[in-house]
Amino acid sequence: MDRLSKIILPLILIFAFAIRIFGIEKSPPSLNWDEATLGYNAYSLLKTGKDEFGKKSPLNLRSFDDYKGAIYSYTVIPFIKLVGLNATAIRFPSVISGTIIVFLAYLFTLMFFKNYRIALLAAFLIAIEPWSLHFSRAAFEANLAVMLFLTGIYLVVKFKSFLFGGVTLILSALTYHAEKVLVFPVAILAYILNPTSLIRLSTTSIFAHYQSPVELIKAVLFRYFSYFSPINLFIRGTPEPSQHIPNFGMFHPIEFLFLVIGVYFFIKNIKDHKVLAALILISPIPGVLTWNWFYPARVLPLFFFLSSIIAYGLSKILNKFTIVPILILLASSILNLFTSLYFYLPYQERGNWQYGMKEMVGEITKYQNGYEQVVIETKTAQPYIFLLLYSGYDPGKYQEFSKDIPSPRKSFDFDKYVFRDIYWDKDKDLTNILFIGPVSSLPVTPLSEVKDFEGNILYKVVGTE
Amino acid sequence: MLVTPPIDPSEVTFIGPLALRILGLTLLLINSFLFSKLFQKKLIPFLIFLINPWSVYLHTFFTFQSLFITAAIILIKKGNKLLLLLLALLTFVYLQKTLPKDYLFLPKLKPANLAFEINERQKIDFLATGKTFILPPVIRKITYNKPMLALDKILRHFVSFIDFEQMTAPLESYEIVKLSGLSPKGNFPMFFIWEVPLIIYGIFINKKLLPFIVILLIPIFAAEKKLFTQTALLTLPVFLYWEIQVLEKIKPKHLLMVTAILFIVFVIHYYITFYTKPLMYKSPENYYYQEIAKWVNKNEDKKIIVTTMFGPTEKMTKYYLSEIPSNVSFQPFDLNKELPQKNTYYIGLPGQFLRHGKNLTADRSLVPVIEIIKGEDELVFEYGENLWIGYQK
Repeated sequence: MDRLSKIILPLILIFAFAIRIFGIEKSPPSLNWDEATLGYNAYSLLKTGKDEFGKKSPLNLRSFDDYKGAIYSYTVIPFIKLVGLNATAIRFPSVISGTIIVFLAYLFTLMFFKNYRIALLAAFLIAIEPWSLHFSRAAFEANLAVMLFLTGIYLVVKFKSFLFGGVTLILSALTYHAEKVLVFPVAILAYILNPTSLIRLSTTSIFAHYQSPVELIKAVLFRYFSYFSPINLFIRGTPEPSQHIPNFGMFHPIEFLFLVIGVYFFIKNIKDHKVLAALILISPIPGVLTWNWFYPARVLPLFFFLSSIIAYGLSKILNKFTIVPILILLASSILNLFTSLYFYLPYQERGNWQYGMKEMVGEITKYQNGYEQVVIETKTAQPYIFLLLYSGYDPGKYQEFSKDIPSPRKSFDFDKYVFRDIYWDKDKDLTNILFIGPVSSLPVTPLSEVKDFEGNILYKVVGTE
Repeated sequence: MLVTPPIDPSEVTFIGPLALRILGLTLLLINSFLFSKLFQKKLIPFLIFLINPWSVYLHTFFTFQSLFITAAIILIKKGNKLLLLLLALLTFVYLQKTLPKDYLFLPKLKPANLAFEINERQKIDFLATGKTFILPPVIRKITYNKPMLALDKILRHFVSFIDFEQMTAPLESYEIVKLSGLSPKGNFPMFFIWEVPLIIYGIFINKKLLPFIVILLIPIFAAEKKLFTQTALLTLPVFLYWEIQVLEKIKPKHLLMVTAILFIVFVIHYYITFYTKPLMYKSPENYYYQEIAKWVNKNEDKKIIVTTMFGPTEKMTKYYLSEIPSNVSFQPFDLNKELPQKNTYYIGLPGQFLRHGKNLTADRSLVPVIEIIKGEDELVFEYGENLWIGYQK
């Protein structure tokens, strides 16, 4: 490492960590159901050594019958020990992964271009790029998986360390389904050891959606190109509600210019960059094999490698004449990103993050004693997991209820908690029940109301005698 | 007379529908020929220009505007950048004058509009903190200022043009294309998917055309993204030029085989769709005008009342038939409120035959429905998706 890197790289890493951890409890505004299940399973593993369904030391979590990789939950355990069962603990492994990815950007770019300046630029760009920032601030297994995947690739390519590299690659594949496609032998091994671990593929696979071979080929081709479509990368982003920062694509719009320049020089010197070219070309494959259009979580390695090219392009035009305008444009875009992230996202997009469940569980906890049953009506799918998480429900006790739940799951009821629609005309005659539901379902004076930060009523809490 | 694809009211001129479509095809052939003159071997360029979806779309539905393409091809051949710049500016002005005002891009850059947007955004930031915090003025000056916002909008508009989904699969990728506010209707693909990598590679092997494309992209700033297929029309010959340069590098045997396969897979499918399924890419009212004209023409001796509820049916029927039969009238009838006239045929939206709302079925119609023309979109809220033809004895 040169002298400049020794000074600047730590600063970039500190900055990357700071903007990833800052306000992490507030933006994204609440834990979504996937984060909640990763968090509660970590808590369950910590307390009992088993997941929520009572499976001992699992490699996959049954979760919502989507059989998530369990690795992320294991990484959450020490943070729950440290700071308790809350959003900070659940999201912390992602923050650390995101910061390590910034460091990996430096290492990879140095390996590809053998230039410290380009490597530092790549690290800086990944630190402030919307995709990296966003995926590092919520509990995405994809972010941890890509960090492991990149580490594994680096160990293999740079140090020919097939043992450590291989182990890390296997870990990445066990963390997130998309990496199973990239580390293909792991997918086969996982299927042999545990066929249910690949059940998710059967529901998301593109092959299940197209009957005719021509249509299938077209669908695969269209999707492949969508991952290189500049409008998706720089402007439009994705329709996936929890995978974007509002008003931003995966990169800053200004980076498009750097990419064009980078691609030009990259192709010109393609003979020196065959490994990077191959990595870029294969990275979209996990996304292409599923039916969604432009699903960022499945192609994070692609964004990572494109960032190297963007840094390469930027380095080609950065000189004493261009540095000021480029800095002004980048600073403006970064500040815009921060306001989007810290203000706009939690305010305008709270609906995409199941906002209100924590507050609702708080009210349930306050009033439930003395009631025989608690009936909960919510339009949020998988509501039980929020109740388990936010009430810190004893995992050992929950496993007694969950061990016999058939798959696919039909009911989420457990203990005295019932999840169903409320029909007040009939339900008002039931005795000793605590009802929690939206205003439209409970047309009576409540014991309490759950409100959002603007004062809108989200839920009413009503008890019968 | 009643040829497909359907005609939009904005296409109506002194030239009749058949002549208009023939003119479109003729101009397509002429431009394909002129385009082929840019190359030494002319057959492949001629065919590529002739079968390109964007080319067919523009020459069919924007026949007169396609004359700009003719001019662009001639000027590219001459290599005169100054004249190309003039052509681009002329096209820009023409589009600015003729396109609907709601879609124009420049008004978005007016200081008043930028200031309004900046204020709205700051308001949201303030509300997001429960009205407890506002960014320091210095930060706000850097983050929210009119020049930066204008620059951002221009940059975003430019990058939005490079949209592989809109270019190759606007219908299939609707889930993501709609994020740009684009309706799948009226967005036919600009290129076949296999043309995109060829064009990208072509850009790399012939950088001399880059200044041309920069000039010819000027008109895209006339209107918003939704109308890129029209506003970017001048760039068509340049993109295809790049594509052909790559095709010329492929060995003839391989080229023949690949071209043949791609023809079968994409081209035939494309033309079948273009000529037989107009509802896939054109809004249903254009299709309805044509179907109404067909029906009136077949039944010219009958007393017919045609709706005017969803558009200029009278103007379009007259355009298709040259003359409207004397016993055909046009009015926004409502059979739910008025008594039907005897021995009369009614052509209108389902909601005009019975109380409008959801689930409108022909068996509940107040006047017996004798024919249904299938559409795909509800043109008037809660008036149903199809066009009904009813007869009151």
